[in-house]
Amino acid sequence: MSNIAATEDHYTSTGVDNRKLMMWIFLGSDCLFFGSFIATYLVYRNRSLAGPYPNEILDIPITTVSTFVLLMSSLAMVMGLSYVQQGRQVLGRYWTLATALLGMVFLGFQVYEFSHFAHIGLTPRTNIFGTTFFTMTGFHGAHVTFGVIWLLILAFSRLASSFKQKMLIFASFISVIIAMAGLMMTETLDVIPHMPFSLAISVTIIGILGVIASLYMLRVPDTEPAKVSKEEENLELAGLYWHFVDIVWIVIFTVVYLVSAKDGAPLL
Amino acid sequence: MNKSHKLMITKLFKYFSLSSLLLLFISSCSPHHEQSTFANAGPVAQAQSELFYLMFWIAGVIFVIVQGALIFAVLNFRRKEHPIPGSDFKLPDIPPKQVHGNTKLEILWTIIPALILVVIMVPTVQTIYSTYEPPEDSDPLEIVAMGHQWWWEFRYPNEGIVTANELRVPTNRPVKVILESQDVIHSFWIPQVAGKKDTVPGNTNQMWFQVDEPGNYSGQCAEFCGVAHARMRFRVIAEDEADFNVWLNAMKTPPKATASDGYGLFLAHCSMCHSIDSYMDGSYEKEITVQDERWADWYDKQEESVRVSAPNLTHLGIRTMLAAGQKDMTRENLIAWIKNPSDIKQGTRMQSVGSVYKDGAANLKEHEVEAIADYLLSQIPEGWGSVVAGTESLEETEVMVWNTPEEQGEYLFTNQGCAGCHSLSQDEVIVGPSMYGLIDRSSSRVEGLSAEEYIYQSITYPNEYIVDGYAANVMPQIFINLSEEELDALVSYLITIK
Amino acid sequence: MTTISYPTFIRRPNEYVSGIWGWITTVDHKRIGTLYGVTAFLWFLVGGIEALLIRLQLAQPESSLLSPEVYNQVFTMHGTTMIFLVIMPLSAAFFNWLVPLQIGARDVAFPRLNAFSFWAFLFGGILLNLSWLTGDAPNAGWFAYAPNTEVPYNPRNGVTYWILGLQLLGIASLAAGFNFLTTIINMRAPGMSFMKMPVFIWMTAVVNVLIVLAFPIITVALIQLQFDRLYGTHFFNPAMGGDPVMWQHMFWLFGHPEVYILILPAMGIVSEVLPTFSRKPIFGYTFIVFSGIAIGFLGWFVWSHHMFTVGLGPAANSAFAVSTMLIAVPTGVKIFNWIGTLWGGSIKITTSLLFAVAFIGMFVIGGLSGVTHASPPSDAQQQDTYYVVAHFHYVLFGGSLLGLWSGIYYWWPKFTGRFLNERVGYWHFGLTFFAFNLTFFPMHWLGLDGMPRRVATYPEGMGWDISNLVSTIGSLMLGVAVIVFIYNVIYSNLRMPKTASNDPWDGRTLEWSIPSPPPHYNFDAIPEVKYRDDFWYKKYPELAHDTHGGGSDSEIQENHEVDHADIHMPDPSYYPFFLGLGLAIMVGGFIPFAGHWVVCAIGLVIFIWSFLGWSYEPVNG
Repeated sequence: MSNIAATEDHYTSTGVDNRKLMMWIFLGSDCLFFGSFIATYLVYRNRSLAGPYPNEILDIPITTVSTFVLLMSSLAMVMGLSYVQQGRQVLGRYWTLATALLGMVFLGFQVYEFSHFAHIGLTPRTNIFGTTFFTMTGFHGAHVTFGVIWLLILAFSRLASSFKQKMLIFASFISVIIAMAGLMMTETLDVIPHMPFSLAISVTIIGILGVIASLYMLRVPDTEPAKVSKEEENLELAGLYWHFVDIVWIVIFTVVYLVSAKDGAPLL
Repeated sequence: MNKSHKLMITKLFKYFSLSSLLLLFISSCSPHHEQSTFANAGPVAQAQSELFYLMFWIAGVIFVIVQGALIFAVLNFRRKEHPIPGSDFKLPDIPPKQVHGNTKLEILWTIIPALILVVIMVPTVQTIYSTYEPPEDSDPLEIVAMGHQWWWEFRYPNEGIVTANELRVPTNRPVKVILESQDVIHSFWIPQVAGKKDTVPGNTNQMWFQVDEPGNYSGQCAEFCGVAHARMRFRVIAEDEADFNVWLNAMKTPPKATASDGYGLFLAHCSMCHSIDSYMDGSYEKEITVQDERWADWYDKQEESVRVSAPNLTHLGIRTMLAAGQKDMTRENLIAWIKNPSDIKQGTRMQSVGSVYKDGAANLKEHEVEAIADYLLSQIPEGWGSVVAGTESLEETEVMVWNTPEEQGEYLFTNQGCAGCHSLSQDEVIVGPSMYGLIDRSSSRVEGLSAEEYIYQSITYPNEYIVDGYAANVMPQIFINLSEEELDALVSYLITIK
Repeated sequence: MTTISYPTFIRRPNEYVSGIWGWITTVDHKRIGTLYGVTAFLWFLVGGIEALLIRLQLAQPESSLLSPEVYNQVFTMHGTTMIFLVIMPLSAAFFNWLVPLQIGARDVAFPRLNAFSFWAFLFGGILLNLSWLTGDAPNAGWFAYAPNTEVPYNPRNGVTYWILGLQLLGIASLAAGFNFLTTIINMRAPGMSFMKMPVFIWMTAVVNVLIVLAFPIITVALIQLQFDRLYGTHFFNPAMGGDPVMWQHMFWLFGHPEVYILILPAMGIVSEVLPTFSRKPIFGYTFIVFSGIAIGFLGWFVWSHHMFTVGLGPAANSAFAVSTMLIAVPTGVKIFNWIGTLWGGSIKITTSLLFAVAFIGMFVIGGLSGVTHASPPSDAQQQDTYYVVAHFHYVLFGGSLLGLWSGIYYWWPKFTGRFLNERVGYWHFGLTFFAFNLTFFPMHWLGLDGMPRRVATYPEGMGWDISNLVSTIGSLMLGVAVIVFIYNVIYSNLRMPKTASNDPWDGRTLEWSIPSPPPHYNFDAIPEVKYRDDFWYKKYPELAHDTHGGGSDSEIQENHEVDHADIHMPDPSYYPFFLGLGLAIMVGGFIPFAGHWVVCAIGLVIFIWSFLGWSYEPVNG
């Protein structure tokens, strides 16, 4: 009953599950992906010919908070996996959900930071700092977004046994997107003219309410004893990915916010 | 013919082709060709090819040993069938001894190549350093070689000379080359004299070379740089120190009597991109600034731009080749080049940017093209000995008589090139502002200057007051050379345009 | 068994669909291998036509057969096609066919991902070549040096096609890399320790490690170039502080491992062909394996030898010269060990063996000329000349391609059950070998005579005319050789009977223990492996005492009656095809033509739809 009946659930030469092994190989590959972005950023330090420069724009306290949030999401991930391994599926799922929500909070910080920078005049086109900063953190954000979607699917998918539940899951995803869109709208007030603040806020609130409502209606009181090991495996894979993305952020945080925070105009 | 015959033929074929190709290879690298890397004409190329020869002979020995062993093994250890005498039956093949390896042997053939490589590495590293900086006790001539799409600019910063596509150097004196690029990556290469080095925009590179014997050496851009990459060549003219110094001085001397018919046409159609007067004092710095501005103009505006960086044409009459080493500098070639540059160098920006080529081929009459060519070929420094093709067609300027200053001004406006950029009708803008109704505008342009004074000022020092929407440094500052009378006539004509 | 109803979109076919849909939905590694091989060969014809156009243009000086712009497009696409659409997928065809067969597995670890790799590769190649239809094929060379690829110098869409096509091919290669590595590490037959794997599997493993680690770098470089071109960033724009040399570093940090990605599969093939036809084990298995690993490892520290003339300074040039020369050591070891394998053997001359031997000979020439430009001062005269063109064609054509052809002749009976005709094969070999040398050997002296690469034409009187003409004649003969090969394939499939036994060459590895062509499930029972070249020692137990560290007893396993119905094989699936299609349409939608975001959105919808369908696909094992 597994995905690849002929090969999985069977003997493997190393004893490690195929999918887990591939996840490790993928993460090794992804190291080179982020390594290239980080290397580019480091090579291009102090080469911006126009401002704003890092020392004028980086807000370390705020990013420290968002970094903390992301670290806490890793903790939540550990909790979720631990509960699933103990067979406490519901708790496990809610911790998984918490991980995803913390990831979304981190993304919210990033959306805030990006639009804030854009307001005070730093875009990817402004200078080489903008170019390297936005692409590097942007692709990290894309990884986090993918992780959030994955975790949400894991948190919800096993609950979808009826048409109504499928619809509810669909509704909760739509709500998440609406909430994110609203959040972004509040940040683009200056950029998009005639955007009423109330509209942006209400869109956000509608989205959040939608998430809460669909979650409430989806609540499942009991665990299903079957397929526990499968769920554990799936969660473990997502966990590997999530911790990796976290570690990458710690490197990026160190490189951008600690190492180069004082970088200014190039010394000529 | 049975199967084994055919096999033998195949193998012989292979053996023959391999060895004959090797022979051909050794024999055919004759050092007579123009860009042969073996026809060394200087110490840098010499050092580089010595290193190559060292490796080539080592490689040759290895080649013979390895291919010999390989061919021997295949021929010698073929599967033998064992016929039983007097019978059609053959014994089945017996598997050979199952050898899995020989550690000692394998260690040996790991170490020996490593040792051979050490033999190559030592002179390699030595040559890397010796070909990087000119010898310490020498007094190198410093030049800047700048790659452009698709031509070369050569600057002599200490002598204050700019020229293009033809590099003059003294013999037996190291030349230190500073390599720069304004657009994409090119590579500066004079095969007989020195290996190549890239010109990278934003990075400055250096190399050096020295030429032993006077002569012409062919150079070429070696890094793919776009559509006319194949046409981006140049020539190095090496002369002994005395001849070289004559050239240096000549480049700072004004041209002797020039064919003036083409002068105005040149100013009107060519001078936005090409400088012709870099023999003057201070022209070196100006040329560098202007070249940057021309390029920035093209970079920013792309297809709308009417300017792009272009070769300096000062004293073109003494150059030997045109269009970045494409053709000999003759009158016919120059005329053909001006008429339709893409025929000679497809993709050249001369045609895609120059406003005179808006409709494809040059928007000039036959005699106008000839006049420009004659003018350019007459650009020969005073006292320069040689007579260059084309100069004999110089004609005496006929003496003109004018009834009024306005009439003279009109003649000058047409013939000195003003009309090339400035239209007389209200709505048309060619390159510079229209001259229509000039009197109404010019009186109020600058506080304290009358209309006449303002126009006079703008002709002689064009960059002082730039009209909004027009770029500085487009109009050449060359009209300051007109006589006082001519300038007055021009002004008096210009204020009549309504 | 309780079934949970997943939301699915198309029912998964639970057995083979016939006809074209059978090929589209297949997840069988053997059929995917065939798809890779056939597609790569079709691209080979495209790349070959481009090569002939180049040679016809250069046959004489000042030729105007192709305009410089078209010439630039042709040589760019020739290089890109041959590297990414021919040699790599042709190697992938062998990986697909042989990895499960040689390690004793029934399929790769992720069959659907495997199919997806193929479709992404196919659509990536199509996207790349679609640019011909717009008249703006990529024109900046396969190395695409910035800033010549930036918008001011290259405003049309060719380079964008190139970036996005390569991105797709990169995704395909990465997915395949994850898959093969997992398969090799995890799905070896019981008893097959790493040091008992066939050399081909070892080389496959090294290649896929290189793919997995090198492709992310080019992915990032391509993203950066794409952002520069489409969104106005400044990665490689010197006017804003960007550095064009950074592109070169990233490109060659990928590009040099890529060179080994291209050559190591052929080395693996040759390491299988030589022992079989010599009836001897490979000479110095451990040395061969570790030199392969060493090549893969050292390959990461030599990239700047492509940049000796860029001006990195004498210290960097010296360091990279040393590391580059070091790589000659493990390469040399391989060559000596191959000769050692032939030495004292009982060599049966076949087309496959001739190609393998020619591979060694030609690769030696390419390797030796490589050493001459591992030395920066010497390279200063050779860089960007036809000498380098000669060098890498000796390595990539004389090396990779001859090796791959050796593999084609060797495994054809296993793949199809029919032999390729040996007589025609000899003609094919002889013609290829002769024409190859005729084409590429003169380029050595063209380069040393100062003819630069990538020139659309050249002036008269440079002494280059005859060599160029000879080279062009050779290339036309190579075209004939390819036609001979095509004739051989057609002839063999129509006329040759399906006579190939399980083990026509007296082979050594596990794939020869099963029928030709192999059944859908490969092995009746997963074999137990005791030795390196296990199958050989099962055939000849009397030779087994010769093996390194092996026991003395060996017996042929009894073929127990196996109930094939019990073998669960993965079912075919529609989603890999649609996932690849959606991805390609989405990626293609980034090319800025009118309404491109609509195309992108359509691709995104197909992509998400097939991604969800894939994830929720019911498994009826």
